[in-house]
Amino acid sequence: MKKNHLNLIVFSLCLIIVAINTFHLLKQALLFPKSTSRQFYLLLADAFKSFQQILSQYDIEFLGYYSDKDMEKNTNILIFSQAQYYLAPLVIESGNTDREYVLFDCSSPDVALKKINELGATPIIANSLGMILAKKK
Amino acid sequence: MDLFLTAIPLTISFLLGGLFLNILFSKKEIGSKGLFFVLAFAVGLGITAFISFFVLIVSGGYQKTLVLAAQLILLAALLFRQFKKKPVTWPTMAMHPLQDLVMAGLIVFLLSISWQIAYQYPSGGWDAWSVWNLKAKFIFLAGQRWVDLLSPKMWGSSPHYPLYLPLINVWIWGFFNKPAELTPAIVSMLFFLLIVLLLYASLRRESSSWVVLLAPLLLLSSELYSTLAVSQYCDIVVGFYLLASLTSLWRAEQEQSRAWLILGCILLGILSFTKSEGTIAALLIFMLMTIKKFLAKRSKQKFQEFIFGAIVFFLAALPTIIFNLFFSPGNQTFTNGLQSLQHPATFDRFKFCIAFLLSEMISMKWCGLWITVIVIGLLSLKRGWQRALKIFPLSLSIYLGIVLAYCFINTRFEIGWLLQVTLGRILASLLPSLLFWVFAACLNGVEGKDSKTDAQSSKS
Repeated sequence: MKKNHLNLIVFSLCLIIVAINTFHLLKQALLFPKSTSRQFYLLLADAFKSFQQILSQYDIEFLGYYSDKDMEKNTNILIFSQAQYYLAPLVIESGNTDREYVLFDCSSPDVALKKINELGATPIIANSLGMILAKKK
Repeated sequence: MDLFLTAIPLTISFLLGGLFLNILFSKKEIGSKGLFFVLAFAVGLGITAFISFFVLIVSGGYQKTLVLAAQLILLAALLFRQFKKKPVTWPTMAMHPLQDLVMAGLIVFLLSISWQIAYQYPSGGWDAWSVWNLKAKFIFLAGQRWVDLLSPKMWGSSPHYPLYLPLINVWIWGFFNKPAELTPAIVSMLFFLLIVLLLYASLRRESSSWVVLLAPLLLLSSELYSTLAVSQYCDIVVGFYLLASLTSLWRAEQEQSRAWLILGCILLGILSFTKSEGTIAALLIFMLMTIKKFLAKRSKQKFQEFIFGAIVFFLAALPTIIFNLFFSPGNQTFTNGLQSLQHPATFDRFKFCIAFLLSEMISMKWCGLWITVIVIGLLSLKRGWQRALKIFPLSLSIYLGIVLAYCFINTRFEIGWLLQVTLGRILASLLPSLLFWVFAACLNGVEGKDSKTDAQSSKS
């Protein structure tokens, strides 16, 4: 194939793709202000702020994490990894309730309080997601 | 204020890289200001990560003052050397300012849309907060306890991944005195800008055709690519260094230039420190280079050049070597399906890998990008496999093969899920280099130059 013909084909093909994609991207950009993603993540960040403030007062390296939810589900893993991110540099240990401080992410506050009592711990603070930080005696 | 504080450390890195390039290259060798700008960032950020890593391991924790002091001393030394021995020279002006102006306008316009995407996710995509930004927070906040992030307990954050991207974020955070949330987003936007500029400047160096503009525009206008690029993942960084090292080594071969060879090997070293996939890609490219050197006609000069390149690569990859030997806990999420009786790697799994790759490439979520690459690749197949350009298809296809083989063998995860979260990003990191390859192959200048090199080599 001659070079000029090849360039023409490539130029036309790419121009069509770029034009379609730019139009699509612009259409999406107009929808961005209606997107709720940002609010959702800001809400999560806010939820962990109170825990952050309290835990930063103590000299601890590890934090226990208890959940009765299905930890194979994406939403629940997301909450756990967001907790790990916002509470870093603490190492959060999923399923470990032997630590002095334990974070409870349960299906209901009743379930969480029952487990807290069972472990002989004292609730310190709860956040807007219904998670409870407790200290073991 | 936030942008100003981000600009200071980035400028220091850029100056370090720029001065280093000025030592390495003569005025005409780089060829354009755009390419100089991009490569200065590539090398400068690599130097920053190199210094930060050594400060981290030697002092037992991240010391921002020490990192800053070390870079300022190096900067002063480079400046002193420049002004004493060789005046600072900038590459000559571009010859097609209209094209550059159009390109700049389009880049600004399309990147502003990408910024809108980045704005929707304040802490980035899933792997940004659970891997890359988490590592950065540990390094920045934990002091001597930073090694906790390498604990097998942190398996969810892939503790075996090298630390290039977290160290760049931490370097900027040092100026904020806190882990500023905007920083990783700005860094990912910077790499997106660098990758499109590198693609454009590299092709523009070879041809003055307007077709050149379309390669970076294909990336910029794709919604999926833009989303992946600004998601604060490390794959955009892998893609950037992959393209930078391959184009540098290709130029070294084409122009018989020692400066490009040194730069290519340095960039390979930095690539190896970005991510485990980057380490594999760097080793693979270096191995292919070695095989090529040994297959070619042996001469004392070529052998010396190879040894020289190997030493440079080794030095640039020191952080990767040290990290993997002494710090990495190893891959915590690997089950060898070839040995495991409970989770064997079956032939069905293999077939699924191939089928998934093919369906991914023709999927409309890529907005026709892969179809375009394949069509142009097929149209310029003969030129694409010419002597010097061969390094692109060879290394990229073997690299993709290795990643697929890993997904096939690692039976720890269900294959559908594993490919869904892995393959898209791997393909995204390959795209810039593939676009360079297919465009370079179909543009006139490259063919001419390649034929010339072929003729020269056959004469000698």
